[in-house]
Amino acid sequence: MHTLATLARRELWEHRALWIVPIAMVAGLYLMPALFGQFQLQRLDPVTTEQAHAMVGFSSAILQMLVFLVVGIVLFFYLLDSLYAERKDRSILFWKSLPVSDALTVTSKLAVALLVIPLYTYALCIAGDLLARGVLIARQSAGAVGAGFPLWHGPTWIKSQGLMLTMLLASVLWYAPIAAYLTFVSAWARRSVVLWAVVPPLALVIIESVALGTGHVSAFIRNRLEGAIPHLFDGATTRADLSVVIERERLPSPAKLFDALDPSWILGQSGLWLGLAIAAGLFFAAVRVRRYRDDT
Amino acid sequence: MTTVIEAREISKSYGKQRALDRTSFRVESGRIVGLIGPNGAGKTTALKAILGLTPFEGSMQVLGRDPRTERDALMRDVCFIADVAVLPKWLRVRQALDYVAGVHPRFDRARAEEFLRSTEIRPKARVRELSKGMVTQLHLALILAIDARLLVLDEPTLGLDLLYRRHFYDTLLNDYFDKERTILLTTHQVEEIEHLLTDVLFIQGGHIVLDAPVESLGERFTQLVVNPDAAARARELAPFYEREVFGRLAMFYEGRSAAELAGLGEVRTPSIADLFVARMQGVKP
Repeated sequence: MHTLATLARRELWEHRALWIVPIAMVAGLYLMPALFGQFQLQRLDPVTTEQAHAMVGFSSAILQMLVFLVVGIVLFFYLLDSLYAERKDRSILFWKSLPVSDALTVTSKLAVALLVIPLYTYALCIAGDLLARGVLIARQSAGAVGAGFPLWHGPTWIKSQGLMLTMLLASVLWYAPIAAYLTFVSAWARRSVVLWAVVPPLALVIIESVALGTGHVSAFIRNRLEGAIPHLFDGATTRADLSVVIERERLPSPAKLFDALDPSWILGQSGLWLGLAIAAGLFFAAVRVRRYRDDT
Repeated sequence: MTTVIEAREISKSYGKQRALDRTSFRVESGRIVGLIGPNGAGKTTALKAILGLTPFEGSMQVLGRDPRTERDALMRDVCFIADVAVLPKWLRVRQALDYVAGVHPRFDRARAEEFLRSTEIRPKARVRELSKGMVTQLHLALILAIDARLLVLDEPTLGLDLLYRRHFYDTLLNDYFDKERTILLTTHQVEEIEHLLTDVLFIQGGHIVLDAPVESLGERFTQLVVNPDAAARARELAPFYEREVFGRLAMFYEGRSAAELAGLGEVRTPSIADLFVARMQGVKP
């Protein structure tokens, strides 16, 4: 465990964007608007308290998803670099001169991308959300913004965070095969890792559609890239159950969405397990490739 | 004395090029062994095989383990510094210490810090800010603080100036080496290390062409410097190599006593560097 923690720290030393970008995103999306934004929330009156809570919860969820979108892009490049940079800068033999197995090395890179940084970003988002609300409530009481608009409701807040955490963990499982694929490409490609990551799947799609006239690969890839969120709720739950209507617009309600979550449904999907099986295969392939990769 | 490395008929090819060809050798504990050979002789491949960095055929035991299957355990007892194993540019000195302390159970951080205090390397500095000599000092500081049984050095001082090279080997000999430890090293600067070697392994074309303790070289090999007029008689004694030095001839013999040669000219014990050149030129594979 100590070794794995050291390996994770080493990743953060090398790839400082991993921890700086989430801070910058949270500061820019939560704190700057809370401090300096001009809100005219009164204009949306009259809204019920439930509608107001849904609006605040939904906005916070959107901000968090934006943060994760950017962090996801950072993680994409991080994973592609993770086993390639050590060969490019020829430090691989230094790392290999120490008693750290290839499996543990690859594990550390995937753990950073799939657990450490997502949970760290999630914690930052919670801190940013609470700080932003605190600042807004203070400004509200000073009469600067949206007087009377309810910015805090404990039960809704907890349900929103529970929903976001569930979405995050489901996304981690859902994207694990992509992460493992990027790690494998990073261990394997001699140069142009980005091309090697993107071109083979694209080529498969094109070959399939030309040769067979079908689109299974493309559907498979698209389904995977869409993310876990479409797979969180069973088809029986209708949109109406999960949203509130504000001025004839349907707004998804984080609290209702959270209540509708069913872990056994989420974990019961074959696509999730198929993805994890593929991830495991690619993980072992990456370990195997790093074992004897020799560019020196 | 125990056997640290036992290689039996190991072979390795890169395409059609045979880097190691049924090569066998053995290294005992408490020795400082120079693996010496021309470029492309198989030195680095042999080291990589010992370190489990490359697959090969044949059998190999390093500290009783097979480097192909037990590499992770092996690396707790083996350290290496290679010209090609560079420290990453982004790493800070303090981070390097943190890292090795975090992953190596036998790392003595205080010892590494003490060594670094005797240099101009600051803990906050990044590797990219250090000169090549200082990077090697940092690497050496990390390695010296690890209680390992086998140290493998592949051209460790390549590109360093004479002062750093001298300091490197002095530190190695004074602060690191003892009878429990074994050092296997390769370098092109044979002259600089020959006084510290206890054994030599000459390798050429993937074959070991000489495997001998240094103290036996004087008995086994003799160098004779003769004037040209005595050359014919000297040649009758079958030198395996000769070359011209300032108008005189240096002839190299194996298995001839100094007494046999004494009358012909000046008899010397050849240096390892001379012997290396003689062996490489004299015995064509």
